[in-house]
Formats: sequence, C-alpha cells, structure tokens
Amino acid sequence: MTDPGPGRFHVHFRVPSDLRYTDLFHTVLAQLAREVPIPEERMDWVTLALREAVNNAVLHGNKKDPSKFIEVELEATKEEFIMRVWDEGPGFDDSRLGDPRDPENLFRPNGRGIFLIRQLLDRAKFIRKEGRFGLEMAISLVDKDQTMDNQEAAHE
Amino acid sequence: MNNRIYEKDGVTVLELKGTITLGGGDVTMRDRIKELLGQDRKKIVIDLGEVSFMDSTGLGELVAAYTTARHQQATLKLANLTKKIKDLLSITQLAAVFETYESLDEAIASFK
Repeated sequence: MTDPGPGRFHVHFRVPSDLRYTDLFHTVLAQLAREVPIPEERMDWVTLALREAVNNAVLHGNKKDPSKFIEVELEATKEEFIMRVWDEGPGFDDSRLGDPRDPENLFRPNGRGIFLIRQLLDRAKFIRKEGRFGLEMAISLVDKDQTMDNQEAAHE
Repeated sequence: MNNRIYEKDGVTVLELKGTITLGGGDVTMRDRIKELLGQDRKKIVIDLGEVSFMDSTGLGELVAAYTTARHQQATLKLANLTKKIKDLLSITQLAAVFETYESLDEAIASFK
C-alpha cells in the first residue's frame, strides 16, 4: 500500500479466480470507504459495482479457472474514488452488450451487471494493459454544489 | 439469506431477509419459488422489506421467478420494497414488469 497523502490511498489485491472473494472485497470496501469517505448514499452502488465487476472477472473473464488470477485496485484521489478489476481473459467488445431495458431483453435473467455499473457510477470503461483486460470505474468525490458555490464566490 | 413462507388470506407470502446476490441467497430464493409453484400456489407475494442488498443476479432471479410463475398461471407480486430495490427496478425498467406494493397488506388485498 502506498501513501499518497491524508485520506488518499492506492491498494492492490491479487487473488485466485473464486467467487468467495467477492464477499471479501465487499468487506474491504466497507472499511476503506470510511477513510475516503465515500458518501453514504452512494455506498450501496459502489459496492454493487465492485461485486458485479469481480463476479464478471471470475465467471466471464477467467471462466472460473482457478489457475488464473483477478486483480483489484482501489484508489482514492482528491477528486475520485477509483476501482479497477482485472482478469486474464481475452476481453470482449463492450459495444456489443445489449441494453437490458430493450423489450427483447427485459425478461432475461442476466445481462444487467455492466449496465448497472454504467448507470450507477460516474464513469466506467474497459481497458487493456499488459495482457490484462480490466474495468475501471469511478465516482467523483467533488461536491458539485460546493464547487459551484466556490466559483460563484470567486466571481463576486 | 433467511426466508419464511406463510399463508395469509389465501395468499402465499415468501418473506426474504438479508442479501440476494450471486452465491448469497439467489439459489435459496429460486428453490423456494420452485417449491411454491410445485405445490400449485397461484397467488404469491414476495416480501422484500428486510432485504438489505441485492445485485444483478438477485434482480435476475426476481425476473425468472416472475416468468416461471406466469408460465404456470400463477401471479407473483412484490411488497415492501426498500428505496434501493425500487431504484434498481426503476433503472432497469423492471418496475414496469412487476406489480409492487408499499405494504404486504396492500399486496394481499390486491388479489381480492
């Protein structure tokens, strides 16, 4: 763990492809959230996004292969709380993901994980780096109302 | 996840408590619904008031329960949704699929 300053951190985990680690990351996130702090009203959505991303990495990325690993990075900067989840799979073209709200998908039991991540967080994008495929997700920690108040005060 | 099944005014209530996530309550919910439909229960309310967390798998299980019930000419309704679950149903537009009620009594009364 590096120490980029008070309340800021960047932690990195590497675990085998196993769904039991989803609960572990849920617990770790709950602990770290208090340090950031992640706004209470967004905590369930951040947790949901991390769980969905870890489950996807294990199930779809690494196909539950226990010899493969997933990596999870949790990073707090002044502006954002960032989560990156990496797997060893070949990745996929996310533009081909269907919209679960479409009538032909609405009654399907799956296909809502990535959609929810995109809807609930401020940004989410798939990335490739050094043979790994990952999903980077973030929420803003900047209070937009406060920022606007400061800007207005500066103009007065 | 804990669950309890009981009858009230001719309606079967499946009360769920805890989390409904992949590997954490999803299979239990599926099994209970299958069990109820196997017993030919036609009026079912899922009471979600004590469900503290649900992921996309939990949502998917609700959808699967709804469609399975419908195929067996049973009716499944939801009651006591938390704010978060209401938000999830709204975002995914599943709010238009399910009949939802603010209270269990309202859900049961709706079958009359």
